[in-house]
Amino acid sequence: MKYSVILIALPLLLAFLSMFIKKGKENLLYLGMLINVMLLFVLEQGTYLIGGFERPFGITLVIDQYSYIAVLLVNLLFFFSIISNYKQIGKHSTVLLTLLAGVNGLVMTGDLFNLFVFLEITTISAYILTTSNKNYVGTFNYIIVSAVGSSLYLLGVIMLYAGYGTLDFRTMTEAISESNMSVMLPMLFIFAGLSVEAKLLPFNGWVKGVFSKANGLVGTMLASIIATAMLFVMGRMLNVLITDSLIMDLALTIGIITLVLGELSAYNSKSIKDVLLYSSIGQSGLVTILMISGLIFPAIIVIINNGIAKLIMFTIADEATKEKDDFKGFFSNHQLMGIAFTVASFSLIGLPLFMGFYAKLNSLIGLFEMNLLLPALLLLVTIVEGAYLIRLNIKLWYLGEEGTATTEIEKASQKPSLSMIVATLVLAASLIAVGLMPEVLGDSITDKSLLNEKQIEYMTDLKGGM
Amino acid sequence: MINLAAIVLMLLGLYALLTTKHIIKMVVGLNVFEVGLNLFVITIGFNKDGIAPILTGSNSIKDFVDPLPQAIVLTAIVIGFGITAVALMVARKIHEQYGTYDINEIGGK
Repeated sequence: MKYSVILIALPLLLAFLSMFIKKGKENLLYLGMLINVMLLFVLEQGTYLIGGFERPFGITLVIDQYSYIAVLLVNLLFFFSIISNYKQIGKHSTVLLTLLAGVNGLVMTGDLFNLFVFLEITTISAYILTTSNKNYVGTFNYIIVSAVGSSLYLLGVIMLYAGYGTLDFRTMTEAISESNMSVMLPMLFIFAGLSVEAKLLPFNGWVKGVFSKANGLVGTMLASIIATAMLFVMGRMLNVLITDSLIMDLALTIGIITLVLGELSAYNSKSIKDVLLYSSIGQSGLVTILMISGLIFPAIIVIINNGIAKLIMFTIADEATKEKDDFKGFFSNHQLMGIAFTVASFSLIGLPLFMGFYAKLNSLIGLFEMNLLLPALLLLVTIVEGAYLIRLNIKLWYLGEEGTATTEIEKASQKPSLSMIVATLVLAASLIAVGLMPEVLGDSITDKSLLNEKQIEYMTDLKGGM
Repeated sequence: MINLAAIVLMLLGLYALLTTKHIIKMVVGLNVFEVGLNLFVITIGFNKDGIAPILTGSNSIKDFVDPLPQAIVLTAIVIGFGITAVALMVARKIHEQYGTYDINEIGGK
């Protein structure tokens, strides 16, 4: 059965229907979200031809191991983001449904132009979501940068089409590897276009304006769900389509600069949301480095770890800064949220017992085999990361001398929703569970051990499935 | 030749985006950029003396214009329209908030 199509088509249909309903639009959103999560259980790996046209003429949806993990992760993160921030949905049900369709399409499609369409569906939904920040100048910047970026992507795709006469991913890759034509320029355009959404330097000027005032819903949607989908797309591009060595070197340099500057900016930031947004930029850089180095398996764990941790952290950060900007000692009154936040930040740093440890460990093992510079850099950056995240945690847990304990009335007014606490705790528990039993990841991803030589097999799997 | 015209249009749009401080003019610049891109896409499928790609039995495939770029442009135009609509909505909100369309003046506030 072609459940993969329903994952995209159903949210779009419900989004269309929700325009005619005045009250209770959220119910359609919940319905679409739940059906999507249920479909994940019956989703089968394989290639789906849309409309019965044979490759390379038709559009394909590809569910190989790589995109299967991506679809699973994106839909589950969406589910948890909605249930923990359901109070903030407001008028955005329609937009959220189109966003769900967009990210599902992004990670599944096997067609270059189709990817552009889903990119635009996702980003236009994101523009509308960010208007709820009331920081319209930031949103406007985001629109302009992102629109130019995706236009560049389309320009690159159409140049490739002019050269090879196909838009299909796999056919295109085969054609490029067989010919001697230089494809540097279109690949540069494609990479630049995708970098905007993947938050790589120097294309991430929009990030601060959008994130620094984002509420829990918008923050998690952008930092967790869209970021996850875009990093998966970026990884696929860097491993399969972009083969030009010069572009690879350029991308590696950009990844390193993004990682270092992102983490350093996070270290220098005071506001909790600024710290989180710069940390997201740093993680994008790390994933780019890993993907270029061919370390797909560590990169996937980093993406999963980052997606879950950022979801928890952005949700709780919004809750902590809702009443007043001073968030000192917030967790002394909200211990459960504090525990979830601390688990997420420890996992992000990569401390043992948490999932992040295996992300960092696998990355280091992989990188050590190539050269010594990158692992050293990663370790240094991890120290910086640990410093600012632990500093943030201390601030959030302890009132300090000048802080005042909140009164009972204040406590009652800022009572967080039960579903948020449950959702964040479940996610935090999953981080610990994977940290204690890392073989879960290995079983579900490669059916083999976590070690490195299996990646070669996995890579061929990936390419063959495309 | 038309290729070059399309690229000139794109560069004009980029120039406008980079130099103007007026928000509405930036949206116009973005549109010029997208029109240039659409024109470029159309030229990819151009075929001198080409005919519409409908199989009738008497014509050969060689004469056809490539229909795929046209389909792509159709989609791209719709998407560009959507982006323009959202951008204008945001521009209006900026004007409501700051009373001006000038980026320099907004930056001071």
